[in-house]
Amino acid sequence: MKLPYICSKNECCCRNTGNCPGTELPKIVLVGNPNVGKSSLFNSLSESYAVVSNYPATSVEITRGKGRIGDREYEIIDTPGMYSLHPISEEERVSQRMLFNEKPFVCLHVVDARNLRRMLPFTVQLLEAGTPLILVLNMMDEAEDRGLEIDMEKLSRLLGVPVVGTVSSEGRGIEELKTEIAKFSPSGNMPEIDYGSNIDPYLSEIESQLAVAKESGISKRAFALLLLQEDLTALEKVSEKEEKGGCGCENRRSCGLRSIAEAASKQADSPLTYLITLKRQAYVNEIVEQVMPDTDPGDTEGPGRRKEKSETAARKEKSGVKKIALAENIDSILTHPALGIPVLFLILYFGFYRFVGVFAAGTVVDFLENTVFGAHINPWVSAQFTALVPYPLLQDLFVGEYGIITQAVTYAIALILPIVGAFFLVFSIIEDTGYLPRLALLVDGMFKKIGLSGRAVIPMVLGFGCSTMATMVTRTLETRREKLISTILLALAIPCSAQLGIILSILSGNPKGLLIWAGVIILEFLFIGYLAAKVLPGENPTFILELPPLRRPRLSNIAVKTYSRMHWYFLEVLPLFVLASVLIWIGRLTGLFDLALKAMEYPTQWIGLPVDAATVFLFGFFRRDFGAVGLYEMHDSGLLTGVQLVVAAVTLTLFMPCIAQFMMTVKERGLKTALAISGFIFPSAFLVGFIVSTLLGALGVVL
Amino acid sequence: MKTKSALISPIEPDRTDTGNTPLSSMEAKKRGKISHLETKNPGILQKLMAMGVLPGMPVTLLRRKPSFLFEVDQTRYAVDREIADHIFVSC
Repeated sequence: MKLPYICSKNECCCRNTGNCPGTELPKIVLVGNPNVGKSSLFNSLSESYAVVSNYPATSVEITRGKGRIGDREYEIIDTPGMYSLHPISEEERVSQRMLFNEKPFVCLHVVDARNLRRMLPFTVQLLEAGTPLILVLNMMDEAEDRGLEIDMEKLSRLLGVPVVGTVSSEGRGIEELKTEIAKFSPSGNMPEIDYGSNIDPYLSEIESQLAVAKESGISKRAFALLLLQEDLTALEKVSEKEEKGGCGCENRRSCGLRSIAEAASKQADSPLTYLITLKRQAYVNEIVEQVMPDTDPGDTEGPGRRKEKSETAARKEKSGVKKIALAENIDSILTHPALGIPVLFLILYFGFYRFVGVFAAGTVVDFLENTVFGAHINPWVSAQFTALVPYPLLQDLFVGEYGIITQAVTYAIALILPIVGAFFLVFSIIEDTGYLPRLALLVDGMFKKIGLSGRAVIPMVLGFGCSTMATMVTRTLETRREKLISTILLALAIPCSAQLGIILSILSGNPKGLLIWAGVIILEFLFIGYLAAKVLPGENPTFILELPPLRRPRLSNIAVKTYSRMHWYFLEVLPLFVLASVLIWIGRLTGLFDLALKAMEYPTQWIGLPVDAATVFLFGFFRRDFGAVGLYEMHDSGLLTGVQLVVAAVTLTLFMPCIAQFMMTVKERGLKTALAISGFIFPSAFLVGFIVSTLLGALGVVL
Repeated sequence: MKTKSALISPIEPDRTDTGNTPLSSMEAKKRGKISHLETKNPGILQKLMAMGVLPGMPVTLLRRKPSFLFEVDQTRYAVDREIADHIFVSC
């Protein structure tokens, strides 16, 4: 069974512990830059599934799976992308620590074959660290399209490790890779880089002091290099030792290490990281020139650049040129300062409004709910159940107004599933094209005003799918301030797919109402973001993002991804809906339900809605999508006027995050922050609802 | 935002002395080679280096708006003005 999804096994998908592989298996660890295809490769090697998309940092957590290669079983570990052994962000440090702490049988360094010059420094770092390594040149097809030829044999000889070329999305080269893994034995080859007089003496001094113990999990040289670059993990290791030795100064070894590093950085005219990186790059450049002799870094496009080229390569390049030119043209429209915005609206209109809102949430849901369930399944089940079980109490629990079958199952299958499915389908396509990074570039300027960088658009957009998973993705943002602001906005103003789908569908017959709703939500989003950016201390983030090439989405990947997300969502939603039915049943037996309903009636009436709408918000406490379903029912029975519908939709959109999102916020930002956010949201949702209701009333708007 | 005078004063001498100009004041569609990186801000420096934006690499500026979009080797990057200020290019 291919199991979902972005969250790692031990977070939320690993209730079935049978899927968490034991620790005794030899480990294959996939590492590499973001967006080079690690997860895609993971999927080909293991029996598990990791989500694959075309934007950097799709995987934010380590995913583990089992896989059989040859006649041995391995534990296969997919890691979030990292740029080097010297990490910058928190999620890179997760990968770094796991490399240090888990002793892999072999590490697959996955690189983008187009960018050897940029990728190999990391390979060299891994070798310096003494990691057992196979170098995987992925996306060979795209390198060929660009007419790049790589002498893999020579590269393998120069680096002293096996090199395999693959196209993971097509499964090309996977068999060769498996063969290499099966016969792998570590070479122990270590590159000898001359780091120059500013570094080398200090390096050997630290190394000689480290000679006593080897607790870092990596080679002494790599550890010393990290220490010189003031790497946090390396410093932590040193501090750990200091603590063990009592006072920092007592333990001369660790204090010595730090003072060497300090002395080294004092005598150098530039930061040591800079010097070390440049030296390493020079070493890599020499290798690259030998394995790709016809690429001159000073002139990538000039005529007569590639002197000797095999015929097949030339042919591939020719067809590649066309492909690239097309992608180029589309790209220049998507990122155009003026044209980009209308394109965005076209995508929103057709992808989300027409397809999800009108088609899935309208036509499909209508058919499933009213025809399939309403006219056939539910009456039949009710009749059967009533005949079989003569107790009204149990009848009420299963087939009553809020019954498990008549409400929970019907809602989950007839309403939520088609909407969420349609959403995830559109998302998968958008993700796989590589549009999201372009969107980030487009909105960076505007996002800066609300304290975010363009990069934050990725979790925001993902939030329209499921705010819970999007809250986890805020991890990829750089500063704490940015993470906090985006978490607040996700909890406050971003409706999740089910909710959004239903609201789009309810308001689809009412374009003015839809515009008012969208306008209010966008205003609130910007206003709260602006306020948060003003209030929260700290600097505005900087924006730097790698833009992957635009790619044609692959049908198989979209299908698997959409399916696995629906599967995950459904499994998450159904038990909660059933639980809600049971709770309501108990509540109605004990009278608590009516009491809670009474309490909710006040704010409901306050914002100008009929008393009956209180149920919607009571449901909303449980899950936002559950509340939206309640609203759908009310709309279906024609209980609300146009204005009331808009007010209810606005209030519900801004309403409390669901339990899952709340838990995720607790996990990512801490309990206090999560409570503070929720404490703010509840009154503010009603306040905005009140303002909208009063304004529309005062202006005499009829919708 | 930089004012016009600020644009002329600190950068102009730099340009005449070493032939270097920050990426942020380059014209779109122009090519050059990265000469050095501004090293005063360690966070930005480390990010640029990790992502492979390094001295000696050829660079093409594709767009200045809505963000700075440039190509190094086979990779495209989108950055804001602040980061673009840290990359010096010789034409």
